[in-house]
Amino acid sequence: MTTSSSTRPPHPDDPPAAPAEGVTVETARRVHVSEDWLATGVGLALVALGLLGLIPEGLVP
Amino acid sequence: MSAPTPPPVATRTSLEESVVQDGRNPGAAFVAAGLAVLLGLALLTRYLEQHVPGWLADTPLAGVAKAVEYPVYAIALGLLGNAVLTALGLRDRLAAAFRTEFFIKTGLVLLGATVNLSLIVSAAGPAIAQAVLLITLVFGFTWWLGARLGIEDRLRALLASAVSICGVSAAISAAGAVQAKKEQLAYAASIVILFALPSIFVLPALAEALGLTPAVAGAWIGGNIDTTAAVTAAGALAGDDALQVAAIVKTTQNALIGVVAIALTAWFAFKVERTPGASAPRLGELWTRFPKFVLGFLAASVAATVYVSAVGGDAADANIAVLKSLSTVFFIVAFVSIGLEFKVTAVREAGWKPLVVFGSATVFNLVVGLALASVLFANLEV
Repeated sequence: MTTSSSTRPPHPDDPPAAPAEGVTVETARRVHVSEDWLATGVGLALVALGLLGLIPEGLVP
Repeated sequence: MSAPTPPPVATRTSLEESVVQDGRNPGAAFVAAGLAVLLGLALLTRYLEQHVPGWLADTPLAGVAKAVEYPVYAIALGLLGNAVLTALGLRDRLAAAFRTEFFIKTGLVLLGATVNLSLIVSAAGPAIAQAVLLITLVFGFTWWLGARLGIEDRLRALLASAVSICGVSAAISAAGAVQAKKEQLAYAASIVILFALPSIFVLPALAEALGLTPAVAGAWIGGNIDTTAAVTAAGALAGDDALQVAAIVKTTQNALIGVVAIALTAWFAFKVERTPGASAPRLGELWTRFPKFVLGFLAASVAATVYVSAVGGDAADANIAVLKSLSTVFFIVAFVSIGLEFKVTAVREAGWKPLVVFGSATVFNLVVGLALASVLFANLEV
């Protein structure tokens, strides 16, 4: 492992760099938006099933 | 003139090492194992919540056992599981299953079905007023203090958004708006959880000590604790009525993240970066950044209110109770997940200044939030 200053690990106060390979802020944002939609869809589907009486009381722990 | 002090060197602060879900897929086996751990601890939470008071009924600890509610067991078991998995070197491999945001948002949509629309309508005015005032004041204070302490512009935009709006979600939105580095997002997200965990227990205790009404307590909790999951945990500890108001207030704050993200995008493009030829952010961005679960919460409340008025309260009770229980199950899983995903690495490695800024902003938020909640929610009947 190198310790030269040119390969110093990043710090939150460093200026922004070009997007690196792997995980980026944009991928994190996309995951966040997808989870938001998914939670809304799953939640509303469960509400619909519950109001229609299709979720038996004993099924919920 | 003294030489500038070099910034402390971070060695592992990255999104991959933070509480932010990054979309990596470690493989179905690890996701399944992570879910098994999550659900196992959630079931254990339910078991302890239901049985511990009975086990300790005839002991001096009976009062404490009755007072300890499910968020306490869930977070404690999550932290314990976190320590065990970390010691075994498994935590990071299983982390893709620890989807706190998904579980809490699903739970909140379900909770919407237990909140009568009339309460949302009554609380909407004070909630919007409190959210606008708190976000403006707390964001402004954090931005100012960050500048005084020499925090880099993007990092202080993330910290100010996180502490004034809705924690990790706000930090992610702001990071996209100001093109922050992933290390900055990882750091901001970690510090949010570091402050949120004690707040879950401190705020309900303070609300009780101060003798706040459920409406004021809920508004204070919803307006102060940064991350939505922690607001829900604290609200649950403060009682069902406080939880409903806290959820409405926090949901309102969440809804304003789009406005702040747009403002940050424009501010950084025209004032900080002065990007040549930069175009103004499109209004469509408001919709892109708007948290959709807020609409789910509202739609669930509308559907349940219409349903109850159509079939009558008595006939609807059983189905609404099932949805309430289901909402609690999602909350328990989310609270276990908070404990499992907590990491101190990023916080430890980024220096003391951002911690001072965030801590000071939290205290400022507490004081201003208490004043606003006491005035705006004084007459709200839950």
